[in-house]
Amino acid sequence: MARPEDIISSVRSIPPLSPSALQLLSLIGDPDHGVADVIRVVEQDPGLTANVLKAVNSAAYSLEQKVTTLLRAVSYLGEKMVAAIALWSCAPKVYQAGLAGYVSERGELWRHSICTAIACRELAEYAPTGSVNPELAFTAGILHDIGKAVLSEHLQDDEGTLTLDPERDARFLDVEKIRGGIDHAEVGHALARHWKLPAPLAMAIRHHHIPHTTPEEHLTLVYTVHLGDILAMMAGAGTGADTLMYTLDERYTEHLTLSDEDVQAIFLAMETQFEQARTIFS
Amino acid sequence: MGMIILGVGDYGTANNPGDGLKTFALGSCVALILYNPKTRVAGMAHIALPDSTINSQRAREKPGYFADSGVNRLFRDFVRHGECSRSDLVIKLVGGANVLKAHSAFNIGHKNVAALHKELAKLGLKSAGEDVGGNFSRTVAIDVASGEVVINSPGRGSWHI
Repeated sequence: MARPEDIISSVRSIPPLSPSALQLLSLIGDPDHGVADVIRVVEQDPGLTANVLKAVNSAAYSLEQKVTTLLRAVSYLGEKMVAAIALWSCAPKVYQAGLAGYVSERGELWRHSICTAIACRELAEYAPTGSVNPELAFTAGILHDIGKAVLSEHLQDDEGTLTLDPERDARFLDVEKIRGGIDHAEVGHALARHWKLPAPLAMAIRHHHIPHTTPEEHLTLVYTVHLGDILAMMAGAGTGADTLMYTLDERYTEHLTLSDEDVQAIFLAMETQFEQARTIFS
Repeated sequence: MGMIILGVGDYGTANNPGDGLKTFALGSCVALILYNPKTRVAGMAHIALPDSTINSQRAREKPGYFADSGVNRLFRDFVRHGECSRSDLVIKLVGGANVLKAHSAFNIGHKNVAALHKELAKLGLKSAGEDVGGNFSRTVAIDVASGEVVINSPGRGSWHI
């Protein structure tokens, strides 16, 4: 069995994020940026420019006229979706591989990440005004489970899969700790440092299952990601064996005000918006 | 001939031996499953939320999405294959899971199961078998010829009810 410190070291085998993806993530967290800043980053990266134009001209947006300029493309897609496209294309080892240690097919982590991201953006509306940037919440949702891509191989048994004991295994963080000596949030935080992610995103990755331990300034964002993750799993958009094997932290009520109907409306919005988003990445 | 796949909010019926109905990754959603062993007709709906009043437009587009509208539509589709007496009808519920300590607003799995019990009770019906709750996701299929309901979950194997 690999030691936890070896697993943490192994995040270095994941290629760094592209400069454009990293700059977009930093921009989204900066309240003073404008659409021109986003376009400036995208146009410096020919591969990303092509992917952004391809996405906006895909069936998802059903536009009558072909979009050929980045200004129009970014306006239609929104900067959060541009950041999603950048992450999708520059981190294939994370988002475009199966997770055998979670009994999860290729594509499921991306689906879970996008559903979580959509839920996070919706949930941000229920936090006190100005306390959570919805675009930042969206990108935190995309990134929150990156640690699973590294930890997966350490959870597999000799047959290359994972078999749970329904009587004993109730919390997946415990399953990860027993098999790998470390959980996916801790591994994800190591990858966040390797990728040099901005602090709020690194905090969301590290604390999304234990939001009450988050430093004060990031608490509401992390509770938002905690709930977005749970809503995605409830909708069946999980990552295989670990789906729903986590605990809701009810202290979220100190940060977000949600009625029964609000939660169900967000659940519905997440599903319908994902149907649009999925064709961009298919 | 084959397995008919139902997405979230879909419903369907089948009466060809060799066919089946299947829905993936239920999470807090619930599969409502109907079967008439005499005529070998099967039905299934993938119910996502308890009450259609939160979004009437969605209920019109996809009535199977909600427990109240979904029960109605599935039964209507089911009896197109011929009348079915109450004593012949076998009803099963699968899914309705939750995360741990999901009290209050996030306990949608429990609310879905409760809403389906209520809708079935209005018709004077109740389920003959259930595999609901817990904190894991289920995939479920029914075989038209045998009526066997097979459930599986990643890392937990498969079983039937």
